[in-house]
Amino acid sequence: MKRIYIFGLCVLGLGLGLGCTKLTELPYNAVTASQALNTQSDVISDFLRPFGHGYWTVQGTPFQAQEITTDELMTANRLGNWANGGYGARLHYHTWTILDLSDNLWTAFYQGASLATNSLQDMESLDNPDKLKSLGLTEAQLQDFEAELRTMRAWFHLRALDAFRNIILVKMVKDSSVAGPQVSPQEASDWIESELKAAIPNLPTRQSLGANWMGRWTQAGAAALLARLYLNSKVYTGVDRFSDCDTLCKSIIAGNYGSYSLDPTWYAPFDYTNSQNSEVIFGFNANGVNAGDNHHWHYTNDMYWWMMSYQVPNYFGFSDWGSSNCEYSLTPGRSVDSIEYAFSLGKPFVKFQRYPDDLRLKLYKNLGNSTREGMFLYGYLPYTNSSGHPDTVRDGQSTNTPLFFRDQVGMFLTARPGTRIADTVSNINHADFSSGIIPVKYPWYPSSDPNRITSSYAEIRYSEIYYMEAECEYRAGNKANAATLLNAVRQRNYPVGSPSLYAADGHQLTDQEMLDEWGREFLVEGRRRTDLIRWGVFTTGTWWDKTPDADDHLNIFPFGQTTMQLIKTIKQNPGY
Amino acid sequence: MKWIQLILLVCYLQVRAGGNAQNITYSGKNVPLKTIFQEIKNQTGYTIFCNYSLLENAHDVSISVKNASVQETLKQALKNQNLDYSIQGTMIVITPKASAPPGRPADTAAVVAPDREVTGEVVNEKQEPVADVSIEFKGGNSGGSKADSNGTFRIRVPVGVSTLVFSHIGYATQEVDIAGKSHLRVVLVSSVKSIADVTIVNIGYGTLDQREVSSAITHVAAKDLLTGNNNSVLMAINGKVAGLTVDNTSVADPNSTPTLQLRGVSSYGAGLTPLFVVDGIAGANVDNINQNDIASVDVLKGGAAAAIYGTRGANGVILITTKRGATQEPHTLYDFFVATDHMNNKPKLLTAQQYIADSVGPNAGGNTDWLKALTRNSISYKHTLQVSGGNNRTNYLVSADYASAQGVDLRASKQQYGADANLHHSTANNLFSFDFKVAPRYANTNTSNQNEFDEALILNPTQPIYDSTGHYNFIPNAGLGLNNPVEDAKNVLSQQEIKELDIAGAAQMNILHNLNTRISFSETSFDMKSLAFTPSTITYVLTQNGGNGLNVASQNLDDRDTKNVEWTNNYWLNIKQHSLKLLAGYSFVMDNEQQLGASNKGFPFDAYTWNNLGAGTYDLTGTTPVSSYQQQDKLIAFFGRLNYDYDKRYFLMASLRHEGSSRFGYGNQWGNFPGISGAWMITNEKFMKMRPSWLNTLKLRADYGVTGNQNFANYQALQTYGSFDYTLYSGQVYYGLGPLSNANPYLHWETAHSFNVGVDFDLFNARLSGSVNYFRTQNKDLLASLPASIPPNLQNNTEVNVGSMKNSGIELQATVGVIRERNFSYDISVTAATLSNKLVSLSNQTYYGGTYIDGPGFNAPGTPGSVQRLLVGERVGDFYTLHATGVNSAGQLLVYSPTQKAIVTADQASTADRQLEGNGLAKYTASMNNSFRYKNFDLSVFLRGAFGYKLFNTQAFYLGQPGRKGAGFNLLQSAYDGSKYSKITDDKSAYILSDYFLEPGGFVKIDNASLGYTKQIGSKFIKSVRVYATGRNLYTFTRFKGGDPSLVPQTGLWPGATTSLSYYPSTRELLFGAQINF
Repeated sequence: MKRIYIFGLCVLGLGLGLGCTKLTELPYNAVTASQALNTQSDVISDFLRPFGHGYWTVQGTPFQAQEITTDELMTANRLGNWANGGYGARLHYHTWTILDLSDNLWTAFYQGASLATNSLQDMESLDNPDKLKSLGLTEAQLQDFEAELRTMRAWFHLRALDAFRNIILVKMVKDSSVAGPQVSPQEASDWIESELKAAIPNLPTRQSLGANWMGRWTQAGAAALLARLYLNSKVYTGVDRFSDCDTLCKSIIAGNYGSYSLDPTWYAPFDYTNSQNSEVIFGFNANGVNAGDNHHWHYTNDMYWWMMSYQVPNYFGFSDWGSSNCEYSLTPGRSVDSIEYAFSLGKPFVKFQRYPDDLRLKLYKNLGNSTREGMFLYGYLPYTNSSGHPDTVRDGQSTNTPLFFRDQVGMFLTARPGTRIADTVSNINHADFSSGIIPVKYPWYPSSDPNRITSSYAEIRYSEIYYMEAECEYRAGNKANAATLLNAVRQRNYPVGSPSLYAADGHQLTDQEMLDEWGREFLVEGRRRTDLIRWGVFTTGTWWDKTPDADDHLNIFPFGQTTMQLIKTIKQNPGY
Repeated sequence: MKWIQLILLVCYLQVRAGGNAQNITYSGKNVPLKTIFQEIKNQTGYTIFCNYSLLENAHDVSISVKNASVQETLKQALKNQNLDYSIQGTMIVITPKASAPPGRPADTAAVVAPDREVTGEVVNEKQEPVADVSIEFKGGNSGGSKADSNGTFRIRVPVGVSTLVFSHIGYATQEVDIAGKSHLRVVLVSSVKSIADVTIVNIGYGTLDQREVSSAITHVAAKDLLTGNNNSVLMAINGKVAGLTVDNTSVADPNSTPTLQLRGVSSYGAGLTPLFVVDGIAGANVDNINQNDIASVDVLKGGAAAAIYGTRGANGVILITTKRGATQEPHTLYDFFVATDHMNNKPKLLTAQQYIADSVGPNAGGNTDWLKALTRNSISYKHTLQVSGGNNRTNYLVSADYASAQGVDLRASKQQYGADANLHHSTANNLFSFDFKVAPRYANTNTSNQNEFDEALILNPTQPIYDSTGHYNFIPNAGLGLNNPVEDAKNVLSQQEIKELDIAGAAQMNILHNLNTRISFSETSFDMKSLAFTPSTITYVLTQNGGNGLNVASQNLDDRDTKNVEWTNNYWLNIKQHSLKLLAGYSFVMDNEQQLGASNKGFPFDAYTWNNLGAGTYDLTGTTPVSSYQQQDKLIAFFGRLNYDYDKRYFLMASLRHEGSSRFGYGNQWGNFPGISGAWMITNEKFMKMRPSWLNTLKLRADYGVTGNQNFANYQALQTYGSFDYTLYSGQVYYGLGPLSNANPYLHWETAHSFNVGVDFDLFNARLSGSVNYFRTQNKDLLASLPASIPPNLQNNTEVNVGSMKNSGIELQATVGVIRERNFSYDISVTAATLSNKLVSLSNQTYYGGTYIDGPGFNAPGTPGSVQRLLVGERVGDFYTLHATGVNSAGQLLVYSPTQKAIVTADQASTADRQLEGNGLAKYTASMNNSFRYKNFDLSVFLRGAFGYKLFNTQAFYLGQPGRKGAGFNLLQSAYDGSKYSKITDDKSAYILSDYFLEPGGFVKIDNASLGYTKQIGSKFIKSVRVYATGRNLYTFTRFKGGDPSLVPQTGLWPGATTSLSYYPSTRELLFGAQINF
């Protein structure tokens, strides 16, 4: 008997020894890379990954880097709110450190470039006729994917070049364990140019894509990136390429990269219908309330949502997201005593008021049926509360004071508008909840409106091609051409026959006016810093609570602490 | 898993085999008596008590028994020896043969004419009678007697004898002066001068006599556990084990669980929790244990002991052994207690009047003590019924409990009931034995919301709870997360339904008398349903207050399951002085976790709560958040262990575990975890025979072991792809497909290399006993999710093996018998530990983790930043912040700025001006238990403390500075009482972190005091009754001003700092209980 047991146990032991020493890991809710690309839909999803990331990079730190470092937007310390350890103030005063924003910027751009490269390498791995056939893809589709991914990668590199200048190039990510070397701005610029040029022939045009062009890189999109590179080439590499930019813009406007037209209204490119708008060259699809928070990044916290004080959503009747908190508003044009500041830069709201018939100057209002007017919030913001009583937007803190939004920064607190207050201090650390005009570029329709928060994000607009060409013409001395180009866009901002349009000879155009006009047309579109640098005033200019910097090393950002630690080959930018 | 079924089937079949058990089969020629005793012990489990000196004169015997009873075997072995035996339960006591034939009445023993008669009884320290005590006359007079089996005696004492000598094995010999006495009550004090100490230590996959242990293991017996309304049994060993930190920052919350950390922080990125093994089941549900069921807790601290648990042993192993079935008469225990908690260390906030007087903020017209409004005196109680019975072959213990606990907040509660049934059965021939265990538990909880206490601290005290219409007052949200916390506590629901089940079965075959093989199967499952509901009627949800008017409900299911199969084989051999034990085993563990979550908004009726998620309207827009996931990992191990001793003088233990985990990179999955330890029992040496009488035991130990840590997320070695953002393509929705993490195919074990030396001692007949350990542990290849370079990586962090951490310290664990009198005794137990820690490195050749990491980030308002820095080469818990030099007359905080080389106001300093400013990790921890016994009363007072560290006064930072006034917060009274914090009146200074807020953290706490009265009744119905009263957290002596210092975390990477005002109040607890034995 006993032997039988022993024998049985030995058999069991053998079973244990052989049968259960396998340690296969089963990732139930993920797939391994080798299993990932099995169907056409998998390949499309893989191709789209950097686009999802790219959309995310329009907001957050990249937006702050381009806006609150400039004369356009501020992140003020409002009674302790947004004090953020002095972050907003340091960006405003150009006293940022390597700990402030650089690492986030790096991650935004280089994660994008790396994801695009990863997808590109995934696409390249499919490049064999049998494989393509089994996936239901054509060679042409694959070429399109590869061209779009190269354009996407170029877009990230272009922004990195703008922010850091002495960058590294991402050409390959799979099977490599170290980052590439730091290259000169010229080499970076050359590579971006060659990548875009190589991509363009294989890119679709807006027309070839039909109704589904939004969110896709087209020939015009890539050409616009190339124009941006040329426009800023003097800054980036020291080589003046305004004439290349001029030529390219002319070619885009001539329809050589697809057919576009300027919208007759200023707001349609930002409205919920903008994924069919004739003026948008490249943007990101949003699907508003139907798709959860991460599918309308420009509407979210670190961009347009946080341009509003706590109760402002009540004014829109937009209750889906609760209360806001005002992180950004326009820098003020007037002192606490309401005297217009003397400096020429900044004062964005005053710059609009220069042309008082500007339709955009109207108080923002929802007009019903997914329509709006006006681009700014100021004064009292009355609304009818849900009990049917008239109310007004208040500070939401324990004093609950009605807020009177104004083009001033100070401690107005409970003082009624029009009364003088003793505290005339106005600086980035001394703001209350009524300080600063609130811009509203994309509409905030009420919660009852099916089209609320559904506008797509317009990254490149056809009007930018006009403005780029106008700047090149102006720089070349052709003010008349510049005025014509600018007026072509501007006419929609004013009533017919408005005196606000530039005279045909363009005599009103000066450097300052050109810069102001860039600011008006592209207000809060995340490009102000680049424009100020190109016009040479980012470090030398004076605006509200900002004096000129000691030198111009601040035109580019330092590499962040983590970036420096992780990528040993990177040399810190000069001056930091 | 078909083969598991096969095993169980085979086991089942084997149950049918029959035979004899508990009997002894042995043959040997000229074997020492000791060896035979050891054999009896091994084969039967009986414990043998014998005085060494008795064996010195015993001669070796030749013996051959087959299936013989214990009695028969002993009879043979003791034939012609001058020794006798008695069996009491499972205890065999070897005594010298009485000079008079046993059984002869004492009074007839007298040959010499008696002078007088003395009567009396002999009891032990627990007042239990001691049977068969031998009584001799001092001074050379022959004769003497024995007490009977009830401990009573009657003896005739010859003239000239004034002192009686009482002796019994296991007890210290006692001389009693009988001058003028005719009746005596003799209390014998137990001694440890026996061959087999009763303390059996669980070493994992087996037990050892404490005297044979060669690694650092702390044994905590049931009687030493702290009584209290413990929300986790682990709280019962808080302070009882030197070097073990039991940290619970919200101890009074009935749903809180402590975090444990043994011998310092051991890892950077992987878990720090020790492995819990309950009755041999690694990873069992610790919450599923009734403290009344615990027999003992053993903490494996030494690496050699923990090495047998290989990959899961790096943070130490805590072995919990529950009580087994009674082997003699049935035993029934009923235990009940009721406890009440009330808040202590209440922060003194400004009252409404003071708030107005100091114009801290606007007057809202009310007068509310928010802390008072949010707390209650809680009532908790627990019933336990334990029945056990059986015999040596088949015995059982079933325990069932029902408990209800309340928190001191308005919502938290936990109702639970559970049972633990275990059954042991041996077949008649003792060839097979079986163990079964089933332990189910159900619990329903309401969870606390600690943010309510944050709000209670910061809310304007002039805000009323109710408005003039009697409804809850709406307190506008100003980005501070404020609302009406009383309304929240009473109307927002947050509950859990927990089901726990531990089942285990084992079959053992005793192939030879010294060889057995055992297969065990266990499954541990934990199911928790979390339910949450916010009604539409809450003020901040109402649309007129800016809310969206939508009620919100959610359900989340979390199922965790661990299956474990183990096959172990034991062999042992005793040849002369050599004693050998061998263990070989195989282990398979599979963890599986599944989660499912769903939520919705906008239900037509609040009454639905979470029971009709489909009725919500939010899903109409296609965004019902539904989520689920599953993950699994496997561990497979082969292990072996050798225990050897030579003559009970030299001990050696060596083990090796070869283990693989599915979590690691292919090719790096397997690791080897060796352990070796040795001990030298100096006092058993021949040359120590002449040692001073006070030196009873002295043992030197040394051990070294390698253990692993695999406590990190699954799937980090693989390149996995997952879904990301929703993106449109050709009018269709796609989810971007891309890499989820940076794959690290080289991922491998984090290992701890532990070295320990120690001394175990017993002096003055157990008056002073304990151990001292010095340990040094180096954790290498720390698992950490480190920042990774982008490019070429795609994500910010990669799970890597990088860096190393060192911990070392000295630990003392001692018991002192200060007074051991007949009616009164006083014992002191002391633990003390030092801890040195050093983060050696965060980088290796491949991965650069930097030279420091800053943390922990403090909460809004503002972004205050962090106060500590984890710095390579330094101790965990270093404060790294601005150095304050004082406050100027303008109320501005002044700090020294090394970059500007000047003292500047705090707002002029930058993060580059931060400096190292002391450390938040206690250098020394200690505890002291004072236990008194007077007749039937017992009293224990347990003190616990930590010393040599600093704590950040978070309350003072957020609420103690007048400069914060106007931000909408209430402030502490200390902001206006002239304290150092009241000097900061400038608002620019008041949001800046600095060492101004560091205070000495040292404390001594009267942690537990318990008074009990035990009455032996011995009636037909009740054997004994014990009633007791316990006070917990009675008083804290400290210089720290920011509340109870033990609420500030001491485990993990950032000890010494709490980063927000969210907290759960500390409480003082009073508990009354009764225990009845039937």
